[in-house]
Amino acid sequence: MDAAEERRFREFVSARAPALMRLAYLLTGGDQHAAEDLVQTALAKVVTRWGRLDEPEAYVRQVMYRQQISWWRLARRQRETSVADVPEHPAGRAGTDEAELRLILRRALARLTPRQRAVLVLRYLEDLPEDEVARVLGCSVGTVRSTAHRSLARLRQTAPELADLRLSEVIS
Amino acid sequence: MTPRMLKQTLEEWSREVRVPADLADRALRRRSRLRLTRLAGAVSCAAAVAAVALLVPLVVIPHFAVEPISRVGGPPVVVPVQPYRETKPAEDVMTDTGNSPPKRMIAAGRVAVSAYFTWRWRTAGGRKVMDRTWYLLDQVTGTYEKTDWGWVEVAPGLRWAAVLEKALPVRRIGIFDMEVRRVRAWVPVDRPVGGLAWSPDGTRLLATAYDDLPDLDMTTVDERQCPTRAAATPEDARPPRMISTSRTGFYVVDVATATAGDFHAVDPCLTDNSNVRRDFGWSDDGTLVREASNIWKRPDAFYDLEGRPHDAPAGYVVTESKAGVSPDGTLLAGPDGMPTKVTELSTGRVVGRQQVLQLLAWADDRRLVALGCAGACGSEFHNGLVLVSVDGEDKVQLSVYRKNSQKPEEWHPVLTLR
Repeated sequence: MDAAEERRFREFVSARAPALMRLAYLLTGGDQHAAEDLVQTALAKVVTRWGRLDEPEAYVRQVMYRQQISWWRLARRQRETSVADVPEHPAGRAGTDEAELRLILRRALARLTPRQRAVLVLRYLEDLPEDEVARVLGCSVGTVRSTAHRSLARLRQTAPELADLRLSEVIS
Repeated sequence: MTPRMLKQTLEEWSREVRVPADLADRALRRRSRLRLTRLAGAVSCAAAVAAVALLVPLVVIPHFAVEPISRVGGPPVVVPVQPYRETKPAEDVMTDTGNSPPKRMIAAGRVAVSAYFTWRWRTAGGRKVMDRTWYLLDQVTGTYEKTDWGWVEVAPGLRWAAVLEKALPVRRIGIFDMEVRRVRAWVPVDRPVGGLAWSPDGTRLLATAYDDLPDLDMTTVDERQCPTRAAATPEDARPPRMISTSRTGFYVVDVATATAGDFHAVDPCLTDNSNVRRDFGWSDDGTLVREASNIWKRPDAFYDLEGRPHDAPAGYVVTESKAGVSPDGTLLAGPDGMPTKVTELSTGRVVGRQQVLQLLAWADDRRLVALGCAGACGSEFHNGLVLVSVDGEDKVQLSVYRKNSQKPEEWHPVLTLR
């Protein structure tokens, strides 16, 4: 990598670091250090291929998704977030406003496995269709569908307040 | 719960992340290690396909590629500025004793020449105006780059700079990314500004507003006067002073969100100062606005962030040099004039004298960056940057000695924590 390429790489990182860190933060369940580690690992891989990538950001993102899942599998345990508190269950759904629900949902999301979170992020934040999610993660569409189903079921299990989650709408 | 809520929750949550300023550096450092320890034996279909993915074009288009991704949960972060933290530099001393103005990075200890300017007079409407040409450090190449900016102020850490366009004062402030060499955000202001100062933690800017050229030579202009009450004191019953400045007040800019708060007017007659340019600065702890005293041994003036006069902060020390108090708070750099001296703050005892002209900044607790003069110091204006120890025993030349520092087109360094 010559000085001009390094300059372009730095420019790319400077411009896209906020978005990449946000993605990493979600994939790691809100773990700042793990998110930084994930992004810098992915960027280090990009450096070795810099100049040969048409879409460096798409590449970084794909590496991040797969890396996170890979680490999790290798470790045979969840790289869970520091948000360790089990969500407290209010007496009833009534009176739970949307902001509160989002907080509950966030805590529940933090308790998913990295693969489950990755599927939800790709599917519902990045709005990718199932076949694209499958391609990014390197799995079948059926795996994506079943993972999404299990993810949503686990969200409901972790946080009964989310029981009215409309599965049919989500799994469209 | 709906997909919309899920999306909002994810977006909101993601905004809590802090964005490190040195991700590119980390990746570049990690590159060589990665070559040796590339993750092997990746498991699962995900990892298996990862290898194949290198061979096929990627078509995934991120859907939150445009900044900011969300306005949920507060104003969007558009500049990933991080609070300054002092770090140990890789190279303690960097000199350029072969070029004037310098071409290669100059630094010593915790400070670096982050920028410098040359100046010349021009005439505008029959008045003299000082024009600066700014040169800005490029840390990637370790060189200084000529710019077209009208004003430059580098943040501690050397990662960001604030810039103003020519024809000061101007109505927008640029937040310049020192790494990629471009403005990342423009901050509009209603009242034109001509001076900038970064907060000690490098997350806010103080922008000083002027309603006329801040570098105008107004010494012959007598168009505005301070009210009589401001000048007529028992000690000083002279006629009202002329207001030589066009300074009107200040803005405090939040850099992360690239937003200027309200304008705060400050009466120019509250202090004695005949300078046209009277930029505001920060108190050492970043809680107050400071107006440097123009009169020897007179304390600086302080204002709260609304522009109201305020007592000096606790522990404030009247300094007599640009260097001021040492980083550990024990020593005080003495006034300009060879030899300079450093005293113990608590006792006033002189702990060292230095054969230099001015003490500019502390490189660490035992060394200072100073203005030294060439040879036997036949001319105080034949000077340059040196690194000198408190006891005056050790001196390292950092830059070329300028032939005449007062001459137009000579360069003037700006020192910043790195």
